[in-house]
Amino acid sequence: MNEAIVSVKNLTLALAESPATLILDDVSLVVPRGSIVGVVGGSGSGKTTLGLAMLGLIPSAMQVKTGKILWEDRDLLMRGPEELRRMRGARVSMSFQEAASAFDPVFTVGDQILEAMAAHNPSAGKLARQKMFDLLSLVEVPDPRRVAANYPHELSGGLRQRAMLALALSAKPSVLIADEPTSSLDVTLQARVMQLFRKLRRDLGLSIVLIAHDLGMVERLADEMVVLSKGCVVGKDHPYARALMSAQEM
Amino acid sequence: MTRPYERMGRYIIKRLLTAVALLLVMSFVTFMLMRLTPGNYLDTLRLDPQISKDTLAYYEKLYQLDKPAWQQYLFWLAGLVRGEFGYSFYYNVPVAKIIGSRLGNTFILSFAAFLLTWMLAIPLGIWAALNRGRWGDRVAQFISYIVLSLPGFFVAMVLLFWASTTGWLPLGGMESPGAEDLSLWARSWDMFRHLIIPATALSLGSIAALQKIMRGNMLDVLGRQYILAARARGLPEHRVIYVHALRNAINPMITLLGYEFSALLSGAALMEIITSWPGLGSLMLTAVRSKDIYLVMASMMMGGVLFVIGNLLADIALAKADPRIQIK
Repeated sequence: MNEAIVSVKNLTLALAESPATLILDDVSLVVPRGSIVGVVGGSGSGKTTLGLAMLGLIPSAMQVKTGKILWEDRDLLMRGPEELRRMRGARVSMSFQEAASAFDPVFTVGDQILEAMAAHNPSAGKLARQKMFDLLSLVEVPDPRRVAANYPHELSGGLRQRAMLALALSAKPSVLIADEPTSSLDVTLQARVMQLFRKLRRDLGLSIVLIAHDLGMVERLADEMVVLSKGCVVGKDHPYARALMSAQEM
Repeated sequence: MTRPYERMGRYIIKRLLTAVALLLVMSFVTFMLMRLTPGNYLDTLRLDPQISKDTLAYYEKLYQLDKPAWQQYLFWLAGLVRGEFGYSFYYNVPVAKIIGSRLGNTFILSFAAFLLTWMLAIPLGIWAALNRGRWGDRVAQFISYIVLSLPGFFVAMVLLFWASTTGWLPLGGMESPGAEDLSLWARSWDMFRHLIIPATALSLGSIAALQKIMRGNMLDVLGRQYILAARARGLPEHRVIYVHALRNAINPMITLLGYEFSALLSGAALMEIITSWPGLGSLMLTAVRSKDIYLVMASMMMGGVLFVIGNLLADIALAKADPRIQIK
């Protein structure tokens, strides 16, 4: 097995105001380089919080009680805010469930991608525009020049989803945390996005953490997965996991 | 497909036509209100035994006061089209002559208050939002509540009282006696000193209100997903806040800016009267009281035109600032 690129070790998160209320309870997760790891759970299971924690974006209402989040063997909880910022986007990035709300509505798609590129590589200069078009082509956006000049609300749902993937990948991260990448899309678009993920892993060597409630989709795509229920990792024979499976079979 | 500026041009023409209709209705209602309330300016003259019946009859004919109200209105309207605002009975000069300088004075006061308000309230609101819940924010919000509950005229009176006891600032008016002889620089400084009290009293309440609105907008935007997403791709915090959050939080303020612009003339009226600032507000009060109908009409039209322009400018600015807003 490849070495771990990101791993979470026994992470316990609690509400800052009532430390007895656990959001994540002793969660561990390993993402080997170049693999797709699924995190499956219902709403409120803590899967999005886990994704954010892997970026070092722990909501201010929560605090870490125990545990480590390792990026290449260094604990990100021990790093300063500026170091974390420089790693976010460039090492580990995240795409969000609603592409429509992940874009700033008042800037064009292209400007936002260029901005993210410049934040990590200020010297890109003239090459940046071409890189942006290449990136949009990579995520299978037809007519990248037109899409780059559009505002987010002017794009269709499927196109916006792919543009958001380009935005998340703009600083060439090696890990992408994809939060519910397909739940707002119809079935044909879902299949396309899954194809795209396979391609990104193959072509870029991207490691992907796939956060979803749809067990079937994760099973088809992921090399391994964990099931989260109420902030705990549960085994495959746990009643909750079995309920998810049987719901899938119906 | 129509080009954007074509669409914008058509929109502006449509809005201006609506504005003309609005101003017509407004002027008609004002005119009728002035005419239907008992008495007119000549009644004051009638009490004066020195003025002959012939003179009165001459005036009545001259100003069409003997004709029915609707004819008089049309007469006034025809004059307006020719660029004539009519004659002020009270000041005994053409209306255009006095209204110009008064308009300028009001604009000086309103614009000073307007600048003071926006230049303080917006940064204060941003700062308060970024420091929510800390003591600085709490103090600012507490003071804002107090200021909001104080009427502006009361603030003006307190300031005037303070000025009268300390003698640090002039007590009302716009210029010191003999200011005409001073150099331009000294005269401006003199006016600035006169401006401090009315401008402060006028803007204090607005600063408190606007600051709260800006703080709320900013907090709302900071909680949005795209701010989290911006952080997740490693944008520097100053860009997250001053580019993405601020740019979105400021949009609703643009509409408010239009309303504020519309209120530039009318908003200062009370403060002008209290601090005896020689502006349009005090002029209008005199005009209404003495039934100086053409002066009232001209002042009302000024306010109306500014209202229409302010709202139109705000709508255009908002459409420019927010790509999601389409002008039709």
